[in-house]
Amino acid sequence: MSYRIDEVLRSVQDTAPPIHTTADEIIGRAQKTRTRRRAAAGAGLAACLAVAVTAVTQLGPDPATTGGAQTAAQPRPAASFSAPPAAPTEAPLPVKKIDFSTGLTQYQVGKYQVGPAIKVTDGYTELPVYYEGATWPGDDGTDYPYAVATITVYDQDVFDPTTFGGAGDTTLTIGPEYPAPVGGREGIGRDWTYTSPVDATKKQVVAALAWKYADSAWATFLPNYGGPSLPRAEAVKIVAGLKTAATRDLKVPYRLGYLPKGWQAVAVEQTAAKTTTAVSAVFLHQGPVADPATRIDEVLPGHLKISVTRGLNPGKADYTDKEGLHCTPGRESCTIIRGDYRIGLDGYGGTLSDAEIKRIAEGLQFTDLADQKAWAKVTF
Amino acid sequence: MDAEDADNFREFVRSRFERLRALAYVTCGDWQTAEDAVAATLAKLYLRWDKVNSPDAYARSMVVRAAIGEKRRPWRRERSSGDALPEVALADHAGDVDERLRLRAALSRVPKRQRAVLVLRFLEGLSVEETAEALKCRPGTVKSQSARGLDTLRAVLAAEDIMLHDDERNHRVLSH
Repeated sequence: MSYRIDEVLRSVQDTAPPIHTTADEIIGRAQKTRTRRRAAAGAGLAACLAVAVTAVTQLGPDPATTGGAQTAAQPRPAASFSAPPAAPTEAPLPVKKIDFSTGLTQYQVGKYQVGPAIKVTDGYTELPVYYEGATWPGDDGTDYPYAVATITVYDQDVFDPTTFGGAGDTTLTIGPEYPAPVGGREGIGRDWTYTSPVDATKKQVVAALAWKYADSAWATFLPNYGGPSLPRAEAVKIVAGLKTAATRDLKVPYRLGYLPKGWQAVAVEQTAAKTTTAVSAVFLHQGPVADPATRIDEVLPGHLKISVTRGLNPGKADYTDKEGLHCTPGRESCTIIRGDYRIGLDGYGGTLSDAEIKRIAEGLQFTDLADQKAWAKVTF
Repeated sequence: MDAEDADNFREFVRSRFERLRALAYVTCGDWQTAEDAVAATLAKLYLRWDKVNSPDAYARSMVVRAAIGEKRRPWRRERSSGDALPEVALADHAGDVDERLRLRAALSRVPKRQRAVLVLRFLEGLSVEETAEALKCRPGTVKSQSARGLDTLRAVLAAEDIMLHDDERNHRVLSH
């Protein structure tokens, strides 16, 4: 017999027992929650803090879910799907403009192509590592190159090599640290071993590295799942090719007409259209992040992400394809449809009101979305 | 919430509960946990009913996330019996075990977080970006977890002489 994946998933739903919960029970539960919240609010801040502390204590330390902002360096192959605390826990810092340029350039090592850089933050630059023939089916029906690893190059004094670890999971074991010098400079490695869930003797080993590419400056090489087996020596050979050339700005296809006071860009992503449909992303934040090693992504507390995606029909969610601006009250979210592109503004953590997000969206002044040469430098 | 909104909410619960519970069940593998996850999500939705424009998308995302984390909750100490997916695939000694049970057993071997991605991608039909948004993770993580989930499922099913179709482009994940 053979099945499609959706048939497998549907098949397990066929044995459903009767439903016991009624709509009125749900409403009653909600009303109790509301009553408790009001009582807690009336009891003052101290009571709220006590509840929060108790909740955290009961849940216990879970590095995958309680970290809030995470360091970019930490290998996290089993990334959590439970969102960390969404709102920032510290007061915002004063705005500090970031230079979103990089001198790191594309290069080839055998079947591996490294770069060009697709992400720059205040503390690090990311370069994807593609492998000849490894592809990913995009939502628009095109096969795009799949990044089998990511090289993250940290600015001086940003990366702490003692954080180079990772937890692994049931089918992934992260091995002990071993010396892995690169070009005569200090380096460390860990082997990531993927084990077949059926046959424990079948394993795939890929090497992860952290190495000092300059004085007090480190970089990491972290494999993604799905690439070829990668011995230590080959990983070292790939990263040894890291090189610089003329400085290049990572740009965006718009200028901002409005940005709330105290806010700034903290990460810029620009990706060539031939490698993805998600061509641009900017993360806005109240001031810079305190630790420049912090991973800037969708779970950074209190951010607004502006993303640009080519293609209007990526899935079945209730997105519109009608030209213009569409905002969803209560969800920190606006979408702009512009030709064949979807521009998303998605807040996280409630630090910006719906009205502010809409105002930012209304203020976007677009360049030619398809012509990356015409895109604008990020000066905000 | 006025009377009309309350009626609309009740209608939403009546029409969506079963589907949402099924979604949660595929994700967490336990009918009671799935029902609890849906009830908790809908109670939250009730409190935001006048603010949420897309209750379906909200409920779908929250239910899957609740189903992933449900068993870690301190209040959920009781253990239901009989409705859970087996944690370990059972050998088919008699050779006549229902195919569906074998599929259930195979799916139970896929780690829960990877299963959540498979459910949203292939059962709900969300894109990579939408799945990342629903689960509050990176698109790259969605790709990686769906690739690993499909590989696991494919390998487990192969051991049962069941093939996972690989021919449709939406069901391919990686090739090299």
